[in-house]
Amino acid sequence: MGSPLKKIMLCSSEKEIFSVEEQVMVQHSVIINNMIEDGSYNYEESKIPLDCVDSKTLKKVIDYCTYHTHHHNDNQEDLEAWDAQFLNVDSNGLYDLLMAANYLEIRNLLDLIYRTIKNMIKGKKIDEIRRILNIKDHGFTPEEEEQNRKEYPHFY
Amino acid sequence: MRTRRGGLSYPPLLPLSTMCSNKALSERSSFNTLTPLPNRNRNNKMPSSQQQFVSRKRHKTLSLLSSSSSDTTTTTVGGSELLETLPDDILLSILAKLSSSSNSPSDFIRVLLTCKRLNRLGLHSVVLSKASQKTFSVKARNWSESSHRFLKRCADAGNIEACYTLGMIRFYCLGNRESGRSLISKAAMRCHAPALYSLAVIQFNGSGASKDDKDLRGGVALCARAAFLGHVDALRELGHCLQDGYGVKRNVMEGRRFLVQANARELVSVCNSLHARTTITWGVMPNQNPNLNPRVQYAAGCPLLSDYGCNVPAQEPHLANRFMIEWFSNRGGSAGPSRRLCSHLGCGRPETRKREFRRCSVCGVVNYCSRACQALDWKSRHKVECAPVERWIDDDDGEDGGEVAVVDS
Repeated sequence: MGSPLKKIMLCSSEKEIFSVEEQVMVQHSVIINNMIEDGSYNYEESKIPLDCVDSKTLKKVIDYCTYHTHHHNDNQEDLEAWDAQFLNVDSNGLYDLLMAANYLEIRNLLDLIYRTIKNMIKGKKIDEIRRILNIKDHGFTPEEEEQNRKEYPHFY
Repeated sequence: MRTRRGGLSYPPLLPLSTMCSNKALSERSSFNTLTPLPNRNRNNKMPSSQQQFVSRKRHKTLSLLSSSSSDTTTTTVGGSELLETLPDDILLSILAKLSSSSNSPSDFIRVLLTCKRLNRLGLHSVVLSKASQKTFSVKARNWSESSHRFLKRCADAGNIEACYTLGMIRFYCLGNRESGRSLISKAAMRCHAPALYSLAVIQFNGSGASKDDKDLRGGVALCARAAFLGHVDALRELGHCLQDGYGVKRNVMEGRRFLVQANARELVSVCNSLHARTTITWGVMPNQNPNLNPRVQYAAGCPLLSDYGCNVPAQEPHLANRFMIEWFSNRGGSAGPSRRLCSHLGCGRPETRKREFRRCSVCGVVNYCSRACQALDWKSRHKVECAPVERWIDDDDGEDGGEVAVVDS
């Protein structure tokens, strides 16, 4: 294991290079942790290419990891407030973050995003959920849809 | 596995990521559709076998996710296919979060009716096994084939809570003793405390069989396991069994210890669930209005832990108990001719044969499935109502209500 101040290089899809404290990423990303433990990362030369993560998203992900590494002793409420502020993005931003977190396997960020999306649709009427998730083709046959609407009229 | 290669490069990200966790294999693979093949690194010579591996997986993924687009940029532009581009496993995780935290079944059903894909994924066992009690909490008056099917599906997916609930419903409400019992046992084998306790009650009473089938020692053993897991009713039952020498060698001191522990645990759980609301009142018992529906009174809260001079609201009964209470109250408050219900308002268990339950030997008007229910009801309600009836002849294994009062001392 490297010393806490060792830096690693991450390369976004725009080929922009981000230098991050090794510990920050190792602690949060399962993938990067495995890579470093594997001994296959060369501190002088290697850059970790993240071809499906753009610079904007990668910067946010690094922000998240850095904050949570340095503030993990803060009280729960402060952290939650920070998280809420952090995820105050449009749906595309949220989607990109979700995919990046999934790719890098950052468990607590994934969990946070899952919870956020869950809260977006929880307790909403079906038509609202369709609008939020932008579902144009729900895939039910007209008969099924009509049947459902008849059976649960107050859900729509 | 170490793959150091003289510092030339590191192994390509993709195979590494698939290697690191088999569980996440589908996760990774579904993402591969969004990743250009990792031939971006000049130093990186990828073995052809690995390339085959990736392309095979890629193919599989494409067929799996026919609706997903293989290019992220389309979503960043329009944002319209947000849902469609999400891989199944991510949606499953979100749905599992939803099912484990829904406040009512309708929260979950609505999502299932939103679109066909969510409907299919929502019924995946990963999601159902995480479903919370509230997600499948079915009201007795709404009981139908489809709710039965849904509960069964959850139970089959390995949801212990659903196993137990369905088992209780089948055993007591639908009279399907065999399958009910086996479902409760299934939950009990996975250390579900209420299931262990319910099995103990069944053993103590010989429910679903004849009077001779009572297995007191088996009941005590099951109770002890539930008590070990911190189940309050089981602790109380075990305490009384020890004090009375019922199914186990009599040991009054040990019994008292369990009763005290039951009270203490109860206080802790009540305090935890109330936390902000200060409903605990020290001292005087709240005045109870006899005109009120007893069940409303029970829910409105009253004194357990009177030992400590502390009145706490009763805990909300388990879903299975709530179901049974409602089920039988819709059927005129009894489970059939000369089948009485447990008089404890938070229990709802019916008799499975004549005179199965013990009776209060002082007044003889109330019946209980277990010592724990009797003790609870004594403190919360029966203490003020009980009046001795001279002509009553004690039959069966009567335990007098007065004995329960020992707990108070």
